[in-house]
Amino acid sequence: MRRLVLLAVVLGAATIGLLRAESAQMVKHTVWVVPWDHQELVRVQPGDVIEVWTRPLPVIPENLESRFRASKEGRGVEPVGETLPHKEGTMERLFFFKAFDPGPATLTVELVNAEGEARETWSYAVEVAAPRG
Amino acid sequence: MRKLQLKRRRSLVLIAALLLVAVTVGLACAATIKQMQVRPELAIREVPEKVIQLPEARLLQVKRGKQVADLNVLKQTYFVRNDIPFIRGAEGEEFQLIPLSKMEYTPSQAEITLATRLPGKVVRYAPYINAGAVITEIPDVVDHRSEQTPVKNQSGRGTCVCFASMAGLEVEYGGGSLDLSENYANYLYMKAEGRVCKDDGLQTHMSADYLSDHGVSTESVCPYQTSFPGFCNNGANPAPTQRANAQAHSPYKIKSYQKTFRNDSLTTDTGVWINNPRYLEAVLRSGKDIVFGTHVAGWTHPYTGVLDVKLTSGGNPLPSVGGHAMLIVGYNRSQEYFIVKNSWGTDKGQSGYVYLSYDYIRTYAKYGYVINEVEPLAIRALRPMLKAIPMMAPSD
Repeated sequence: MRRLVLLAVVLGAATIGLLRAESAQMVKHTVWVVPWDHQELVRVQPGDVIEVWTRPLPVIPENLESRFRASKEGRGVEPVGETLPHKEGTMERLFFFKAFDPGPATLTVELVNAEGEARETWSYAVEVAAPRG
Repeated sequence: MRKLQLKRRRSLVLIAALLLVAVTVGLACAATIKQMQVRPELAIREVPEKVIQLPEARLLQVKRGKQVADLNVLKQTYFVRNDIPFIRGAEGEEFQLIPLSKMEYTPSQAEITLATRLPGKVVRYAPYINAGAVITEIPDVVDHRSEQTPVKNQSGRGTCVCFASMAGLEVEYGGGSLDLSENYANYLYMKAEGRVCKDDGLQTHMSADYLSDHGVSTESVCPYQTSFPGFCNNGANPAPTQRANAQAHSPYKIKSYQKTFRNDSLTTDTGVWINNPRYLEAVLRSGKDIVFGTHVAGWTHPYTGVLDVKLTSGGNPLPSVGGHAMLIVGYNRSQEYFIVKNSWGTDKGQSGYVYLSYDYIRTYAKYGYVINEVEPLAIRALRPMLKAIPMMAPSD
């Protein structure tokens, strides 16, 4: 009987321990994925990352000189990087912005030609909320 | 009586223990779910942060739009989010790093173990694939262009993987006038990826998996459409009929294949890796071609010369503009370039073929595969047997 109780206690403790260890190791980040045709306001918290996907563009000679360019208006959000999707056939980009301070911001993605002129433009309204509590 | 009491007590304790465990798990689950509450208008991902050591690889640091290459900074520890490495600065700011390896598919250890074996026909040339080996059986030039089907044009669609994989399959079935359906291949790939009716690109090596699961039809059964929405046409006619017809007439299929991945830590041309030109030479020498995916960077119209690695002012290779799939069909060792079948029509490159320098392959090649066998028996496999049959002397 005592053994059984002991086993139950150990099991419970192990479960709690494992879960605590797991959550202590995992520093969570919130990444908001914004598809290229997104239109609603993007509401985020300071510290969140916004990942904007551009429109897919086929990798063909007509597009090789084209580039995607991202910019922002508003003080609370800063671009922190960009990368490619892991596949062949299309040449979209993933732009990353980090929310720092509360306030409104606008993220803009442009498809520009070799001369740097914008061929297409997409804008995303962002609201960085005040931190909770 | 006492025995019964003891039994009951044991049961009670057992139930209590189980309840304790269940409550603990339940509470933990509830906490996790609460943490991951989804706001309705957007997808949300909770990404774990881990600290790992930065490898000595070519890297680009993107700092608020400006590219900086400072290896002393890059040697710090960094953390990875969504497979993208970031450095945290002294004031808590984040700088993203883009090593080429991280821009690519990361194979599992099991996949690497499989992929680092030599494809059957290449085993004979195994001693050659490592740097420093004596070159005996490898000629200076191998060119399979004459065995290929005609160069096609993918037009304005992102279907290069379909064209590269169909080109590889066509030549394994003997080439000639065989014309397999890229449109049907695209349908199969997108369906397998859960992206039906899209034109959305694919990791090139995945086409080997899909073509060994499903056969494809000929072009006449399911013709290519140069504009999109195309094959599925959002469910409108005549696509479903065409699709059913193609499914019923799709005998062209891969029986076995060998994938190859990239190894960013290579310092010499060694091993079974897509970025080892010697391995690719050995494959080509064995009579096989390589379907592969690569980054496109620094290509200048009309792509007639040897396309080589170009550097930024900071000394890094130009960043990729996107991924592209093609078929490697030959090499020229003394001039250090591969002959590659493209799908941009015959008016681009050398009648539709491009030459990629060995250094380009070392820098930008991502992954690929060799088709070992196709179903049904390939004409190509019959050729040596046909050649071995003595010709009858013409009778007088």
